[in-house]
Amino acid sequence: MAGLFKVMFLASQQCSHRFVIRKQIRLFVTGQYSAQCLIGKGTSSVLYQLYTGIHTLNSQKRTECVLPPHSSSYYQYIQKRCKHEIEYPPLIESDLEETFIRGSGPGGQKINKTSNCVMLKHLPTGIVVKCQESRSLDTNRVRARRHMQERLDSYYNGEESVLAQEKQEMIRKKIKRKNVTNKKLEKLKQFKEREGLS
Amino acid sequence: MINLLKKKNLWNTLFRTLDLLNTNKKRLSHYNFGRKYLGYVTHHVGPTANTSIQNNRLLTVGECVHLLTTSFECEGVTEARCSAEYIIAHALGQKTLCTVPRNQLLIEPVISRISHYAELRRRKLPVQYVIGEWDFKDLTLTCSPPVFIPRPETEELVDYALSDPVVQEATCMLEVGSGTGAISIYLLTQLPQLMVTAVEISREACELTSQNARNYNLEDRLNIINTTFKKGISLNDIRLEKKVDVLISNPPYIPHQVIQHLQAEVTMFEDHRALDGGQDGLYIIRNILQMAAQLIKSEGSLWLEVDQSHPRMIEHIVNSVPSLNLHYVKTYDDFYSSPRFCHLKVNPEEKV
Repeated sequence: MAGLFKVMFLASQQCSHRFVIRKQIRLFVTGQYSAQCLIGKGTSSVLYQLYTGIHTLNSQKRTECVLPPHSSSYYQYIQKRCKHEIEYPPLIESDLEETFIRGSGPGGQKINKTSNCVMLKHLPTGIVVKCQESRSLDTNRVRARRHMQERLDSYYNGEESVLAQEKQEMIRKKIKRKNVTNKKLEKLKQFKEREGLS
Repeated sequence: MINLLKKKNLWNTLFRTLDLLNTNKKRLSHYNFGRKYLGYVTHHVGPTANTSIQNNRLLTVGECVHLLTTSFECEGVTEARCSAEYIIAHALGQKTLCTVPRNQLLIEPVISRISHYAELRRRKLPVQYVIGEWDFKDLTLTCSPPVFIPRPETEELVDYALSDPVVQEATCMLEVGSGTGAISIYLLTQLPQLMVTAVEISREACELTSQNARNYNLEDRLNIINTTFKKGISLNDIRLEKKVDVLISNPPYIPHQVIQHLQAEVTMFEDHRALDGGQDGLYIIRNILQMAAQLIKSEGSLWLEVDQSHPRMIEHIVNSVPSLNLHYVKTYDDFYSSPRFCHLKVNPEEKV
């Protein structure tokens, strides 16, 4: 991470701007590191989302900054992280064991079964995923694979996985909301005391 | 007092259907086509048993699932738990119970809907007919008796067909036996340049196909023709000007004598014309093979869903009868890994 910040700091100094790092995250599993930085002063400051170079999944800790210093293309910025950019660890079909709760037997026209529960087992890790979200077996199979990828992401990437990041984000927002409410209550209390209402 | 009475009434309506102690095994007469499908099934609800729950607490979703499941199990309904869950979810306006909290309370209109559905389900009516719709891939199709209910295997058939470059570039397709219209409608939603002609023997199925197509605004790209697919059918008969690129079908393929021994849900309520494939299950398939070269243009594809014993027989037929002008490309397995889908192609025209 240090590389990126150094470059940014240098860049902001060159154009005599203020440079504040707001938060730094590893961008899901695309392997990039990113940091939200405020550049500029007061109302004219701009929020930038900066990216480092591409990392492979296995070398998460290595930082490689590909942003060239001292050029105008210091910062690529994106307003929002897009969810569809998420890349999960690849799923290898041969690692998976798929079972259907409907059981085996003659399929096709001969039988009319409605249980569409799909159970997937990832053999190397032993993770089991069940999916019964839809009435279509095919949709359930697709969704089960997606859930499996999410679970594998948490398994391999731990704290930095998509789910963990989303969870942290939720907690952060919750705390923020709570603080706002507390402040409001505090103000109300002060107001009441001042006016002698209580 | 009035409130209490109302609640009691409510419990009575519910427990008439959730009658747990009613152990009389209902005997079901064999369903005969041509007669009215529902009225014919003799069924009597036994004397309302003493409802064991006295408290006036409202029922939650979880409890209702449990009660219905037990009730279905007593009645010998297959897949009791699944049926109960789908019925309750549908009564609540959902597709599955995944999104419904188990402790949600059920209120009156929902309970009477559930009782109504449960009553139908106890008469062995398939869940798909009870709730009147079912999912096929990401589509929701209307289902009504006696039209054949699309099976999950067919979802795989359209997947394999979509991987075929001939299908991807097809502008004109013929489907034999559309039923609810699942295959045609799904392919039409996936391929914007496609026009489909569907041949269907049953009038009810024709209506259902066109209704489902209307629901997805595809009626102008789908021609439905109510006719029998027989030997000697010509392009004129099915109102086509030129040969089609692709023929896709999920024809009836169950041997005639096996049908009587299938699940009650299938034998009693589904149209036998969509199931019965004659002596060896190959009757309609033979017709399709024979007519394929007359209906499909050269190097066009023929996709079939068949019984697991059929692919080898079909390959044999195609190889031993060169006049069919077909060649066998590949057999694909379904998710149970039994051979189910056949891909055939019409021979290229010989250049003179």
